[in-house]
Amino acid sequence: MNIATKEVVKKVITICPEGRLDSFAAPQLRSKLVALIEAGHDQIVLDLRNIEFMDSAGIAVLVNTLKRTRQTGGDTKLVTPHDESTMRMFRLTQFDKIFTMVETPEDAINQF
Amino acid sequence: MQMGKRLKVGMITTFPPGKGSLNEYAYHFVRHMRTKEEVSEIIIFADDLNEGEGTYKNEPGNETECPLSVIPCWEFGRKRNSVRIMQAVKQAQPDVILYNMQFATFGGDRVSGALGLLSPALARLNGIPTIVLLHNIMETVDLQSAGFASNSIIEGVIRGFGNMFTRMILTADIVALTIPKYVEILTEKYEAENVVLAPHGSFEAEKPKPSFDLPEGPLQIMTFGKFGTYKKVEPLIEAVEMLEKDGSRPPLELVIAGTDSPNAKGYLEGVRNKYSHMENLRFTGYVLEEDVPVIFGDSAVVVFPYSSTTGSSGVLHQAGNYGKATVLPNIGDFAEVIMDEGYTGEFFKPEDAKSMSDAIGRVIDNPENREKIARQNYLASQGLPISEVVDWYIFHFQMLLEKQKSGQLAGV
Repeated sequence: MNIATKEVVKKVITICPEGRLDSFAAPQLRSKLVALIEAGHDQIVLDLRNIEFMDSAGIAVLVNTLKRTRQTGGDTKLVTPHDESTMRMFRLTQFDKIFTMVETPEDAINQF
Repeated sequence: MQMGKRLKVGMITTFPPGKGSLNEYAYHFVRHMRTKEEVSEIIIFADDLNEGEGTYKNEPGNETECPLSVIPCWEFGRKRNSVRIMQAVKQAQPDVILYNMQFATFGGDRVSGALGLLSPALARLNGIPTIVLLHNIMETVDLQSAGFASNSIIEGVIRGFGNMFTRMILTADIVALTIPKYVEILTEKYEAENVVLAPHGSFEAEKPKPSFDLPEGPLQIMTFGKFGTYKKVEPLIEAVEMLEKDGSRPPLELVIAGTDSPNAKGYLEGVRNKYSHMENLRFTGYVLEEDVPVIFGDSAVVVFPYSSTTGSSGVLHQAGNYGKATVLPNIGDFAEVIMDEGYTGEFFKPEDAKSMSDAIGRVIDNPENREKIARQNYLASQGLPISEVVDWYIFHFQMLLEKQKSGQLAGV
């Protein structure tokens, strides 16, 4: 009997932005994420635990990443932010219902 | 976005060459939505055009844009708008519907305006996933300033009806609002769970970076919009007269760009007559889309002579896009939008010509301050382009269709 063994390695990139994610900081994160996606990484974890503030421009970067990764069959998962004002943005936009949001990066990786 | 079935989107809105409020927002929204691969077709359910406004143009699809068709099926001020819209929608059969509206979209008088607001509920009754983009909420509109109520008793009565019609609008599957505070007000007051924040977005993100230098000639002080209700230009004209009297400044020109509000026909003609002695006062009339960059580009400062606001300001986003300094009223929700979206400006006390004059002076007398404000507004305008806001709606539409498929989307 032949037993074929196939190893599947999931390649997941984890990004940990820190500080404010507003209209002034968002372009920097966006550039980083776009470069990663264009390099073929379409399974991304964004660890938001160290984000201290996020506005709609910040949410837009995350949504754009979700869209781009899903277009190639990948996905974007989020590690839930600790900052209350950041969570407020998720609740107001109801993107907390559209993103998969988990407590730790390990949980996020296991979701892929 | 995961590509499922491509969406045939219906949009109930004013649309160019129609000149109704929110036509420009619709134009930019649709322009970007046509480029989204998740969208197969867009049908605009627009208002009937008036004589001299031209005709709507259907656009075929091409490699980068989906087809666009326009069905005129309602008229500002008519009582049968909801019925006519629904007849047209049933015939065209879009997968999803987006209303681009405010409380006075369907009529300036209380009856036609209110009856039109029943339209989203009718769409939902007909089983079509429906999102209402509501640019203002009754709770924050100064009804007397906006021309809907002549005294506080009438205002109280209208607010009572307003609560009722807000509840009708909330029967849509999702109600999208452009300001965080509005979402929180409706969520708390009406215990609504279907209210989401979808920011206004900037119109021209792909534009090259603007020059922050000013053209030769008089310094142009510009205001842009539909005037006569809560946007009144008299204090601004008086403010410019005060600046001129000082005598120490280079020549000034006041440019009033735009038309009367539908609720204040003849207003600008009255202003023109009243201030006919002012040689440096220019009225542009309706500004065609291709002339908008010139009007903004030539101005030294954009002034918002508002006594109240009815939501986020498209003009503020445009001022940002064109890298312009702004002079803004110190009004609650307007200030909140500015802070939330990173815009700035010099502030004045609403309807106070002296305060407005001082604020304009702080901009035009101090080129460093003018450029600092202009640069910050430009950066803020680049934060969230409308193209990305359109993606947000597509996510919500896809979620609604998934819910519908799994039977989780209940009818009214």
